[in-house]
Amino acid sequence: MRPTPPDVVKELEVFPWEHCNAVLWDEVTDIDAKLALDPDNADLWMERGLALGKQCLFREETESLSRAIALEPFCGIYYRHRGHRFLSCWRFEDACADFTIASRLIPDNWDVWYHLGLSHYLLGSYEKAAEAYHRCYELSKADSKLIAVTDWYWITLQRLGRPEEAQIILDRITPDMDVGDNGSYYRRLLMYKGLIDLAELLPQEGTSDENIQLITMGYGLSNYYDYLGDRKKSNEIIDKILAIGDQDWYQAFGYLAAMVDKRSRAAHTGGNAKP
Amino acid sequence: MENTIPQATRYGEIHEERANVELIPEILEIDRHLAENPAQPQLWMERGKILRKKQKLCREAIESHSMGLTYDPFNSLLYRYRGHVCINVGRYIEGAADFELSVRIDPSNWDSWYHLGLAYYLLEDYQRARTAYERCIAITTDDDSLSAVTDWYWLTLMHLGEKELAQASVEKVSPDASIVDNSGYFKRVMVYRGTLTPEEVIEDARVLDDHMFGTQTYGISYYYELQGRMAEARALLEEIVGRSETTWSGFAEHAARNRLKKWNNG
Repeated sequence: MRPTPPDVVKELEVFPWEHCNAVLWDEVTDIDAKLALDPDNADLWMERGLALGKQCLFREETESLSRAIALEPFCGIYYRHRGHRFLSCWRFEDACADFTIASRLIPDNWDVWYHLGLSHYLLGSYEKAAEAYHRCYELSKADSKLIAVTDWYWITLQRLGRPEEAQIILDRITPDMDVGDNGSYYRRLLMYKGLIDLAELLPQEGTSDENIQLITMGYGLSNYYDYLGDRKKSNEIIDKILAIGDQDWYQAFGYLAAMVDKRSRAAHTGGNAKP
Repeated sequence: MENTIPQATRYGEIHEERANVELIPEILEIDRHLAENPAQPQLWMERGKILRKKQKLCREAIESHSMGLTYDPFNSLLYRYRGHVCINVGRYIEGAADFELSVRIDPSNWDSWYHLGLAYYLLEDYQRARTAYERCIAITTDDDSLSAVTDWYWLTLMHLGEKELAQASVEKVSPDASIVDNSGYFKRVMVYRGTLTPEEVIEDARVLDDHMFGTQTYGISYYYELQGRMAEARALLEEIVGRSETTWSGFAEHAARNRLKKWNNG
């Protein structure tokens, strides 16, 4: 996901009264022209939503996807995509509801179970997260998908105090896998296996691509430090993630998870957790 | 009687920042039950209803209904109530999507059809609003409900230029109808019907609370507009909006605000 374009304002994407006053990209306006002739085409509304998402207009994307759902309320893929954008807008409960119905409508969709797991994880419902990740795990054929789900599943199982199960899934991860787009999750897993030193995990802060990698790997590292008992180091990394991702990557899963962990820890200690 | 229950404000409900409102004991009691067993969709629904109705914590209400749906994703009532709150906070198309699913699951639910019509009305999708209102009218069995749905149906048909059909619809609401809950809508319909004058209904509304003032007069602003009485129409809309500081979630308030915004933006 590219960083937020300058005319898209984060605070407006996470739900106030006003909308962003952003210039729509050509991809969106091209679809709008088609919709003007064919306004009841639910798939076009979905395409519009996905195009808006590329522009980081996440709230507008959820509205377009809601149009698609209103036209075809039993089409699972619309809920899958809208749920994803609800996550981007920090609406975890709404995302969870969308992925839940999607899991009934399109039960063989890997992304649905993967994101349902993440939704539950962000809501602190680790048992339900584990159930969803388990189903996702069963559907994982390609290495890249297995890598992504194994990471979150491993973290969830550890939080549930089920280390033996966590070890079983980690054992399937080997040093010579085809990582696809999931290089960052792969490095996290190799770290859990002891094949990458904690101090060597993170890239330098810099370009947008480097920052998203830092955020993704950073969350895994933060969580791992906490797992090892070093809450102080874990918190430091969380603060770094939130600072780096505050404007451009507030929708990234590592950012969301870091934000949730910070709030959760503050709630338990009575502090102020706003990032 | 002075309202002592803490109320959320608009900016708290539809913004990144959370409303800093203390939850009432009723909610806290529900939360204790949910902490022990969260797999209770009915309780999540009750929680959502109370949050909206008693504290205007609409965003939290939506989240409650969503949590209920994670346990019961084909529960038509959870979509009905979540859709309602979506309208309260201006998320009209989300509301419409919820109501579309709700009526597919349970086409006998009057409220779902009624609010589906409202969601489309607020989206200015008058054809879809018309379809929803006609389905609603088809299952309407009492005078109170008929007044409410006929009001919005008349407005919708007039937006579509269907004057004869609109007039025929209001003729079906008798001046002697038995009205308990929907006097505001009933009086609006009586204006459209020619039985009451707009001025007497507006005057009658001035002694009501802010929300009922809006409910009783919004439709009359459009009635004025149709007659070319633009200054009076605008004045009425501005009065409704001006009185909506604490009633921002109401349907008439939304409709009035949207109409003014449309005029002001040209």
